[in-house]
Parts: sequence; C-alpha cells; structure tokens
Amino acid sequence: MNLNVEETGPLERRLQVEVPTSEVDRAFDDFYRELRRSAQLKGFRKGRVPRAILERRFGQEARGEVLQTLIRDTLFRAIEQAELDIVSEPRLDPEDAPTQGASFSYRATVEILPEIELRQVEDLKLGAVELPEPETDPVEDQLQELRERWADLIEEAEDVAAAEGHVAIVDFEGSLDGQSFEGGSGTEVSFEIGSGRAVAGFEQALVGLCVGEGKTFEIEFPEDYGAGEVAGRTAEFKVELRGLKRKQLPELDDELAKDVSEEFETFADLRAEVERRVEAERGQELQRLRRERAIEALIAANPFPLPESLVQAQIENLVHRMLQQVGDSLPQERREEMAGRWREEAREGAERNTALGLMIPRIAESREIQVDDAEVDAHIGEIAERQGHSATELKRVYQEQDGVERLRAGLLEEKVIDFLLSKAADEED
Amino acid sequence: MNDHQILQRPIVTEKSTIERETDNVVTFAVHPDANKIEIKRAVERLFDVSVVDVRTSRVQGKKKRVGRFLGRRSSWKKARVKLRVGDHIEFFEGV
Repeated sequence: MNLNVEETGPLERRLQVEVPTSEVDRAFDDFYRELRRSAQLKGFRKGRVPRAILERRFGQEARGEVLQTLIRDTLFRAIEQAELDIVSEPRLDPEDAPTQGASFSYRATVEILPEIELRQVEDLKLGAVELPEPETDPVEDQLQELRERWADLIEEAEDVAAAEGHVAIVDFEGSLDGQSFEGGSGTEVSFEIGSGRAVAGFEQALVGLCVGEGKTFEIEFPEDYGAGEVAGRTAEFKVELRGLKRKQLPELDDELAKDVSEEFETFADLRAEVERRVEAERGQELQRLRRERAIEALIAANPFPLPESLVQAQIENLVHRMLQQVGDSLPQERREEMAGRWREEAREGAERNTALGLMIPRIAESREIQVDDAEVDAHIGEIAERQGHSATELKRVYQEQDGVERLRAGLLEEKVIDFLLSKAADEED
Repeated sequence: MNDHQILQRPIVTEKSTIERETDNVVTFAVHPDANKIEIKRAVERLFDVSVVDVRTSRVQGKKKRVGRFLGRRSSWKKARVKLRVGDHIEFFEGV
C-alpha cells in the first residue's frame, strides 16, 4: 500500500492511497469465490458457474463491492500509518471503481485533532467577577411572592366589573375559521388578569365584564406560539364570565410565617430563611459566573484551531435536542427555519464546548487531575438522593447507558475548572 | 430464411461451456428447418469465423403437467458448431 499525505488545511489532510495490483486481484478473487458458491444461473448447477461467465454477468457489482472492500481494508491502515488522530469520518472523493489486473488508488480527506499547546493554565486573569446589583430587593420580591401564593380569593359583588388584578372564572370557546381547535375551549377556567399567563390580549379582553356577561373577540396568535396549529393565525373567542374573585394578600406577619411552614414561629424566622436562600442563590450564581470566566480566560489564553466537524457535531446535537423538545406539532418548514436560526445561535457555544472538551483531558493529564471510582460513586449517590432512587439501582442504569463515563467526564471537567480557579492570578481565597 | 432466423440464441450451460473450452465447439438453438449447410453459412457470415463441422440434434420438448392439463414445451433444434482452431465467438453478451 502506497501512501501520500497532503496538507490541505490547518486541520485537514488529504490521503492518497494506492493499493497494489496484487491486493486488488486478491479482493476480486475473494469476491468471485464467494459469489460462485451462491450464484444461481440457468444452465449451471449451483457452484459450477465458470468465473468467466460470472465476470461477464456480475462485473459491475464486483467492482463496486471490491471498491468498498479495498477502502474498508486500507483506509484505516493508511490513517494509522500516517499517524493521524482523526476526528471526523473520512470524506472520500468519488473514484472510479477498481479493475482487475491494475493497481487502484483513491483519495480521502480527513480532519485531524489540533496540536494543543497549553501555554497558560495557571495564573489566568479572571478580572473582577461581580453580580449585577438587583434592581429590586430580592428578599422583598420573594416575600411578595409568598403573599401572592398564600393569598385568599374573595368573591366580588355581582356588579363589579373585571379589572386588572382580578381572578376571572370564565367559560371560553375559541375557533379558527369557524373550526374549534385543540386547547381552544374550556369551562370555569381561572385567569388572573394582568398575570400574562394567557396568550397576549386574552386577559385584557376580559376587563370590564361583569359576572354573567359575555363577549366575542379576536386574538392574533404570535408566530412563535407554542401550539403549532394556531401560531401566526387569528382565532375568534367567545367568553362568558362565570365568576370574579379578588385576591386578598395576607399581611407579612407571624401568622403567614406559620402558614408557610411549621418550621417558622415568627415572621422574623421566615424572613431570615428567605434572606439565607437569596444569599445562597447569589453565591451559586457568582460561582457559576467565575467558572464561566475561567473557561473563557483559558480558551483565550490557549488558542488553537478547532476541527470544524466536531463543532458541527456539537451544533447538530444541540439543534436535534431542541427540535425534539418542540415535538412535531410544527409544520416541517417552520421546523427547518427554526433549526437554521438555532444553528447560527449555537455556534459560539459549540466552539466553546469543543475547545474546552479538547483541553480538559490535556490539562487533567499534565496536571495529574483524576477522577477515581469512589468519586463517581459518591456523585451517583448524591444524584440518587436528590431524585429519591436507590444508589445501586441508579448506578446500574448509568452503566447500561454508558452514563458512567459521561459522569466521569463531567466530574473531571468540574475538577479541572476548580483547579483553574484555585490557580487563577487574582483569586484570593 | 435469413441468418438471424436460423441462429435463434446461444446455449450457455455447463456442458456447452466445457465443449467450448476443450473442443472450440459453440452451441446454438437454431430454426428447426435449418440444415447443417445453412447453419454453417449463417455462423460464418454473422461472426466472421470458419466453421469446421456442424452437428445437429432435435430436442423434444418436455411434457409438463399444469393441474389436470397435460402440455408439451416446444421442440427445438440444437446445433453444435465446431470452429477452426483459433477462432472465437463472443456470444455471451446478453446472456
């Protein structure tokens, strides 16, 4: 086998492989021997058809078959011989099929792993990482939310007209061009006017109605509305107001605290708990930002060309998952349009993931960071506890789906980033 | 009767292949009324070869029963044509 490697790009190599005549002929011999055993031709007993006749009859098939055999047998040998770390399926340039009694050469293009030089891993400059100050006090917001959740609903007098803040109980019937549609109708459904949970315009249309009154109006569904059938279309709704309730918010007092949980004696207890949670959340968010910053800094400090096929694979993977979430409620063209947009949006993240994914093992290796089985088990234990499964059961499931290696990779990534943070230039603690 | 009516189709079987390889004899199905001389001329004209010998035989159609009906396949005439040493006919096309 003769091999010639040509550099066609930073990460692209073109292999020119020449298979000698003897190997080509052997492949043909193998093919015809196999064929002879199974071929059935009129005038001949099975297994007795002369090769010359088989060649006449199956020459084209033989060449196609031998083409595949030869490529299968030689391509990976060639890649090994050229000492290339390939990251993509080799792309074959179309070739004429081999012929008997002649050597056969073909070309294949592969993408290889980039040379990763870890220039700077320690002493990365992260810069100051700060959370934006919230515009409103998150503690107050949370308490307000609690009040909303524990609010009492009080029946309004009959002659009060629906307004912002009311909970309206309505029967409604929607139609598209006179046809009712799925999810378009309901009886005694509660809508909080102004909550924005119903499609835009629906809640507002209820304003001004008194109990017992009805109304017909049109709603234009936005293009990207979740339920595919109505997206971008105008539906007619007939509603009748069946009841109207007002929210009575409880006072922020010991009473509310006790309602929320038995753990709390006084309102001060509740407030303290809320403060603690808000603080913890901010802490986590800050940590997340710092890790993200560390990754950014690492990638910026150690540039190397990214194999496009890996980036593409990342993008496709993501888009595929997103499409699955959308389900097939949307028409095909809409799906494709969305997929196209997502592909563009996903590129940056995909490049980051690809770069990080390639660097993590290198860093781990050179800095001797490892994840041992006990750590994986401990992690599985944590997940099991959180989800309320038994740890051994969960581990079995992971093992069946190759999940353990993924977990291990995830843990390794975490550890490496921890390492980056601990060695970062402006990290005090 | 023209040459194409005389030579109806080549016969390619294990037996005919062996004869071709060992004795340079090719086999045709021919018109039942064609005689050896006509066959010889037809082969020489169509394939540009010299014919040394022609041996013919009449092949009786096999009796075949389909349900309760007895039928018979057509009888035909076989001609084994010996070519001069060194001459060949590429008659496998379309087999």
